[in-house]
This record gives sequence, structure tokens and C-alpha cells, in this order.
Amino acid sequence: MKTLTIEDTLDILYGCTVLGTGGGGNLANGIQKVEKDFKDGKKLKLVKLDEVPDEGIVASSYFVGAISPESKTKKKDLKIVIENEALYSFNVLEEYKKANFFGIITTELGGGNTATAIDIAMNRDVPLIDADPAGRSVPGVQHSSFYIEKVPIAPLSIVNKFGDIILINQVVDDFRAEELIRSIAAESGNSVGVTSQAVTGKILKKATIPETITLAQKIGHALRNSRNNGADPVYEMIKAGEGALLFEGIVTEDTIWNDENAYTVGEFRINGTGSQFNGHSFRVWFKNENIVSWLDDKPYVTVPDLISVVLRKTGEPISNPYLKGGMEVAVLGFRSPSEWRKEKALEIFTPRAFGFDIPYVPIEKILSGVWNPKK
Amino acid sequence: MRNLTKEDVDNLLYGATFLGTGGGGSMEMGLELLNKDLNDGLAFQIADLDELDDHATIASPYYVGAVGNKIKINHSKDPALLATNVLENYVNKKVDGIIAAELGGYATAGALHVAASKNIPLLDADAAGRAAPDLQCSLFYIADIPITPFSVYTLMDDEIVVKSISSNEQAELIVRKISTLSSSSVGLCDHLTTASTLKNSCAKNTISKAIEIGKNLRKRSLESLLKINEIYELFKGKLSDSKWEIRNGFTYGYYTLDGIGEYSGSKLKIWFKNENLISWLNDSPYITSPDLIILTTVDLNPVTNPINKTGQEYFVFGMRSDKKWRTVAGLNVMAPKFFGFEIEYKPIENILEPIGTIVDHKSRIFL
Repeated sequence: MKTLTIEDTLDILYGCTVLGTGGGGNLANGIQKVEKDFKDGKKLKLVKLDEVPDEGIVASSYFVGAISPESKTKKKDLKIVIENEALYSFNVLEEYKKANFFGIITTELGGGNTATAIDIAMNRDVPLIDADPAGRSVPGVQHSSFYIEKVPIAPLSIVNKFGDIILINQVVDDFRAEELIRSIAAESGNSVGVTSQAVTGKILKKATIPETITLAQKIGHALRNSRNNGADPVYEMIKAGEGALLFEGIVTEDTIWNDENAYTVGEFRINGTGSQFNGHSFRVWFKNENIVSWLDDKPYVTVPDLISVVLRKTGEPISNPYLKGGMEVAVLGFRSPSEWRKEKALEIFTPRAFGFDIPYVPIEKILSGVWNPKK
Repeated sequence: MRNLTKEDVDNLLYGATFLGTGGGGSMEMGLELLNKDLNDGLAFQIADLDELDDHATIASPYYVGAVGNKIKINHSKDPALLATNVLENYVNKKVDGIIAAELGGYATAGALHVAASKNIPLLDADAAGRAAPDLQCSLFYIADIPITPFSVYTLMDDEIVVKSISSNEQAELIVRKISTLSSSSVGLCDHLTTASTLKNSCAKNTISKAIEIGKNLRKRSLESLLKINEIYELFKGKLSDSKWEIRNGFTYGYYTLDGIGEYSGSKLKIWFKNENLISWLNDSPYITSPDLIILTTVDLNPVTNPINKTGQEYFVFGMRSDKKWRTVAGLNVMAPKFFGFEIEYKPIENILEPIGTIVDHKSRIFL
């Protein structure tokens, strides 16, 4: 177990945003939350998976937005009585399970979403687990090692700011759970705090991806360090995350996107610059997260591997759909955790799962000859 | 405490469907459910409130959905019974008695089925004295009996417990959403309370009343039906127009009847949200919720919404609502205004028997 400083924690959030591949929630909100917690004197402890006792229970807390529009019934008579719905949902599930939870695990890596877990860890003084069920940000509930390893999502607790507190004891599957949660969110001012997958350490060790928080911290640390010592942040982050530079160039126009069932779906295009990329173009299709890329209109790196866009000069990660025409950016690629390369995972998290007739080719094969992450 | 015979059960469901004012679920499915229970040897016990210990735990299981929904419920997995089990497990307490949330062909059958399955009595009472559309259209709501904790069981086998809720309106919105996601058919169990609390906050002797009404309906005698106090004949006419849709988990619609016989030349229009709630006689507001607007066929079979057989002849009856509906709190959730109509509620007896007129209140209605 180690206690993290505020710098470590901000490194984690920056790294999570890079690994968030365009999704994972709002980094600025995440920073605000953890800065306040540190200011209030709260502590963040990080434990490795093997430090979690086999019988200790760890749960995952997060916010969920609505799919369907909020009902027209006015909520003006409802007072806001709960300020931190995700924290409250953690407490509710704990009470329901009649157990003190040992710790909390983030539902994915993302600048906003991992901050939610960190905030609960700090407020409840329980450790954050150095692992997660995605090793990145992911668009759907099924894109989770919990789902692949058949860890039931229920019982789960749902809390909104009006004080509505709901437990789902049993549910058919994760898709149905998501549908129910989002329908409740639609009546909750479009957001609910949820705690689910309360599992023992024994199961957690089998069903999550280890040391992903440490990986995020490394990437975030590389970014911060480069700013301090004048190194190139893009190369420092690539080195820290054992990734590759996929592209460099200028964003052609502001990202075009639609809200499709509460997913932000769209595309952006980059015109290459510099000796390596001049005359080439790069395109990305995203559904919250960057899913498929094309180099000169030929399929290139895709999910489950990571496609991450940062500002070329500062290394600042840019989430979807906030790329603006004229921005100078670099696109970073990282290998997905091995969990995603298993046959069962590839059924649900490849371009085909998003309707593209594109086979998944691992990033290191695409870049063979070029790939030398350690260099 | 008494046990119902098969004859009583048939009468009960006819009467409950009549009092269901177009909603309350399918009588045929209710009869099927209870006949199966009879064949399985289950006993239907009915108890008066004062026959139970004051501290007896009472709960109210029911179904939420759009009416006219023909989804076949698998009897081995009745969602209201399963919701009751979920709630019992959650509070770690056994329920001693069941109260029907409303009167209706399937609603009341479901409550009786839950009681019989658990071998506990159904109270001779209910929470509305009729069927009513929204969750908060309940005498429990008016009496401030907390709805939470309550349980929801869906046909997909989801088990949900609502531990606390900011308002009854919020409960309605959330449950309706879940129902919509569940083919409009979920079981609930709520208003966990004690027998003593219920004494002043429910409609009493309504199961007995439904049995009595059902008995007279099945005699097919208009005369004997109208002998029952509180029942008024409002209209007899042919269906000339009917429009309806399922929206946000409710069945909404209008229909118009063209008068026949002594009502010839008049039109009665009815608006429903699951239940019949507002009527207009020759385009002027007439009997409205909370009072009861009831359709039967001419041979006195109670009719549930929606109806669409143009040319079919119907009787329309009216009944006074439970007096708790006529309080300010009751009218807040059951008067036309609640359903979006700028119509002032007038008690049925004031409309049909204006001061200074002498009428036979059982058959005369035309002013």
C-alpha cells in the first residue's frame, strides 16, 4: 500500500485521460474533485491487487447519464438532498451487503471516471485498487473484464440527487442493468451515482486488469516531467506507456458529432505534417472513445488497441468531441491489455462490433518494423 | 374471516372489473389465475380489518402497465407474488395480510392470488375503491402512508427495491419507466404498513361490495343492479368513435357513444387514461373522476379499455367515489385538473340530483 501525493493523483488523472482514448469523462471536473479532497486533508491510498484480502469486498462506483430524454414533468419541487450520489451509492450497497467494503475500483480509466472512484476512496478512507476492468475507457457495459469473466453486476445501488435510492438485487445481464439504470437517470436530472460489482478480492484478482492505475500514473508523470525539463511530452508519454506515434498533423475542421442514444458519435480528420507524415491523412471514428482509425483512408489501428489524441506541443490529451480545426495534434497508439485480445473479448470489442467490416489487426503487427516501444 | 367459494370468486371479479372503470386488467386472465389456484387447492381467505391484530404487517401487491396489454403472464412466475417475496426478504419480515391496491379484473385477482399463495388473508378493503391510473392515485398517498420501501419484479426477472423516494410522483415516473422497459408488465409490492394504520386510510368492505355487484351483473338484471345503492345509470348508446394509443406506459384514448332508446339524440364522450376519468354529455363536462364512470355491454358484462367495436351497444353507469377522494388531498390527485383538464369536479349526486329536484336517483339522469 502506498499513500499518494496530489501530484501523483493528478498524474493518474492525466494518464487516465490519455488511456481514455477520447472518452472517460471530464478531466477538469475530475481535477477539481480531487484537488478539493486534498485541500480538505483527505488521503489517497493505492493498493496492489495482491494486497486485497481474498475475502475483502471491493466495489465499483461511477456516474451514469440518461439515454432517453428527461420526462417533461417538472422536477422543480424536488430539492437536491444528496451532493455526492456516487459516494452515497457506495454506502448504500455496503449497507445492503452488510459488509464494510475493503476498497474501491474504478470502472474504467478516464479523467472524470477514475476521479469519481478516487473521490470516494478519499472520502471513505478506503484504498483505491491498482487495477480496473477495462485498462482504458470503453463505450459499453459489456466492454469490461467483469462482463467477460461473468462477474454479475447485481446487486447494485442507484442514487440520485433528489434522494431516490434504488437497489437492483437481480438482473438478467449487464445490458438490461444499463437500460434500467439509464431509464432511472432520465428521471434524475440526467445523472445517477451507481455502485455495482461488489466482489471479493479472490474474484477481483481473476476478473480485473492489474496495475493500470500505475500505468496511468507513469504516463501522467512523463507528461508532467517533460513540461518541467523541456523534453518532448509526446515521446515521453509513448515511452512511459510503451506505445507508438501513429500520426502528427493539423486537425482539418471542428469535430462533427451526434448524440446517438446518449453516446457521442462522430469523426475527425487530421492532415499530416513533418517529414514523416506530410502528404498523408488520418481519420478517426469515435463512439465516446476513439474506435477505428484510417491512414490515407485505409483501415489502421482499431479497438481494442488504444488511439489517443494529444496536443502536439503540450501533450495535453483532448477528449471527444472537442478537437477543433487547426489544432496541432499527435496521435498515440498503445497496445490493449491482453484481456482484450482473448477470443471472447474480440467478439465484442473489434471494429465489427461497431458495424465496420474491418478485421482487427493488432497494433504491433500494423506497425511491425516500426514498432520499437522501448527505444 | 371467511373463505370464498368459486361462485364468490367469479362474482368478485365481475364486480371488481365493473368497479375498475375500464382499467384494472383483464377479467379473463384474472379468472384464469384464480381458477388455477382453486385447482391447486389454495384457499381464498377474506378478513375484515378488525379481525387482524393491530400490529399485523400488511402489504399491497399489484401490477403496473398499460391496459389492453395481452402479454401472457406465466402463472408460476406471477410478478406481484415475486415482488412480495422480494420485499419480505428485504425487510426480513413476513407479511400477515394483503390489501388490494385497487379494484379490477386482474388487479384484485392478483392480490387474492398473492394472499392465497402465501396462505394469508386478503382484506375486505382496497386502496382506491375503484381502479386508478397513477401510483399516487391511492388513498394510501392521501393518508401519507410511505410507499417505500417497495419492490418491483419484472417479467425479465429483474428484482428491484426502491429504498427511499423523493416523492410519490417520482415513484410513479420511475416505476412507469421500468414498466415500459418490461413490456408494460411489472409486479410491485408497496405500502408496507400495519392493520391499525390502515383503519382510517383505505376503502372498506369493497371486496364484499364487488362480490355483491358481480352477483347482480351475472344475473343480467339491470333492475337488480340498480337496486344497489350508489349505482346510477348514466347512458345507453352505440360506439361511434374510438381513438387510443399507448404512451409512456399508459393507454390513453377517447370514445363517443351515440344515445339509443331514451338517450336518443344525445352523445356521451369519455376520456380515459387506463381508467375512464372524464365524460362529456353533449359536449358539456359531465361525470368525472374521482367518481366512477363504468361501461358494460347491454347484457351487463363489464368492459375494459380500450374498446373499438363501432356500432356495439353499451350501458354507462356512474358511482360515487369513496369520500376520501372528495377531500382536498384526494382531489389533488384524482380531479380532472390532475389529468390536465380545466374542469371542476362536481360530485355525481349534485349533477344527477340538483338541489330542488326530486328524482329517482337510481335510474334518472337526464336533466
